[in-house]
Amino acid sequence: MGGAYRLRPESCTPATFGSCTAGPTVAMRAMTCSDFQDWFSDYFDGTAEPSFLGEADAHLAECMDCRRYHDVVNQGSAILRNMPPVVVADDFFPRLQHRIYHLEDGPALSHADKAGSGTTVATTVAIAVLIALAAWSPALVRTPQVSLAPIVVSQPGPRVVGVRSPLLWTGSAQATQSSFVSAVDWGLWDDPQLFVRYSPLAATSVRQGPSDMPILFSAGERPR
Amino acid sequence: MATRPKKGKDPRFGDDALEHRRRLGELSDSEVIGAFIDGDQRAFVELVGRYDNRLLNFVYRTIGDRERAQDLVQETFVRVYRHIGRFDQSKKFSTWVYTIASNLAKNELRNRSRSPLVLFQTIKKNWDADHRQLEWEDTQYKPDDLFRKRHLKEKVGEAVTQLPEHHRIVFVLRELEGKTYEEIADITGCNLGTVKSRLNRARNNFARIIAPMID
Repeated sequence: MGGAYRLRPESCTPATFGSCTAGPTVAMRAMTCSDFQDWFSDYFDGTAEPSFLGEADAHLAECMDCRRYHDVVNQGSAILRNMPPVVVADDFFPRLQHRIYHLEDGPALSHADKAGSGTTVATTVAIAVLIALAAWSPALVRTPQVSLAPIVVSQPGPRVVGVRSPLLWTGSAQATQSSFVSAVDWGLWDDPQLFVRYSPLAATSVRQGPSDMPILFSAGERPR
Repeated sequence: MATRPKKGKDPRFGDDALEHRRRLGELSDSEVIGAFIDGDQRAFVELVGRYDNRLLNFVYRTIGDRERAQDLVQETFVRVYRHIGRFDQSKKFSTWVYTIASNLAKNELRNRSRSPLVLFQTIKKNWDADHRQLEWEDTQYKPDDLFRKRHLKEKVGEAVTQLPEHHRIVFVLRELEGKTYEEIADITGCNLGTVKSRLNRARNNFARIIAPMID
């Protein structure tokens, strides 16, 4: 790295240093790699002062690292610029035309939406108010007056309740039937306990039940 | 475009169409915009034709997704159509339209960073690259050279997408679009010093990424 590179005043950049008149005379030193890279874009795009460009050229001629850096950026840029450009699809313009053609529909629809939603809200609120008035307003709600004919209750006749007696086996089918009928007539089924006790299943359970319960007969066993 | 004039009166139809298009092609951007503001719908078509591919390349290199880039370029032209009345005709139209596209691209990158997802196009692009047949562009080249060149192009393209967002936009505008520092400053809304600084950093990063691949 060689070449004379003047230290620049704080107020001006290396790119404009050649024409800078600000500040006192500053020290001279060689351009460093850091200087070169800091102001590389001005050099690369050719926007720096000619004096800076000359010094940068001199620096590049002697500094391999900066030359390599310059080559990499240069090649990368060239590759980017030579990439095949992308082009718009065939339907690009028809789609754009369609969108623009319907541009005026957007505000109209949006206005209609707003108006529609406002009407809906107002209607809903009105209905809610009417329902509330109907529910709680004493002026609107009247208790229905129903006039009915007087109910006349006649005295029922005396109920004859038969004497409850167990249904016992009498030995013949006819007798059994007559005994059963008589038991019904006596109000046997008014007492659910009796119903249980006289059923065939209940007979077994009665046999297996507590000792204080009466054992009548078991299923398949005829009492004598 | 929003209105449908009768045939015969509109220069889009009949023999006058080509002549009208040719005359529009000779006008500068500001003159074309003036014609568009005066009601010549064909002038907008001329503007679209001048900038569609340029904007597509810019947005595509910025966001890295071709289909989405196309949508954003469409949106750019829709905004131009809607807000052409706000355009200051003392300024350059290209700066204005690039500013709109740049803002849309920045919003896209921000939205993507908030909800990252693997784009189908990215998967498809990689798949295509893996399964594409070799194209024998030049018989003097060895397949290894062809592969290396193609690989290098892809890597250089990827290097751009690896740059930070604010560096990338400046880098693409300078390297691919050839914009001046002043134009980039106008498009990005930064001052000249910021543009230079960002461009320098972008080139530093770019060189660091691609250096191992370049002889």
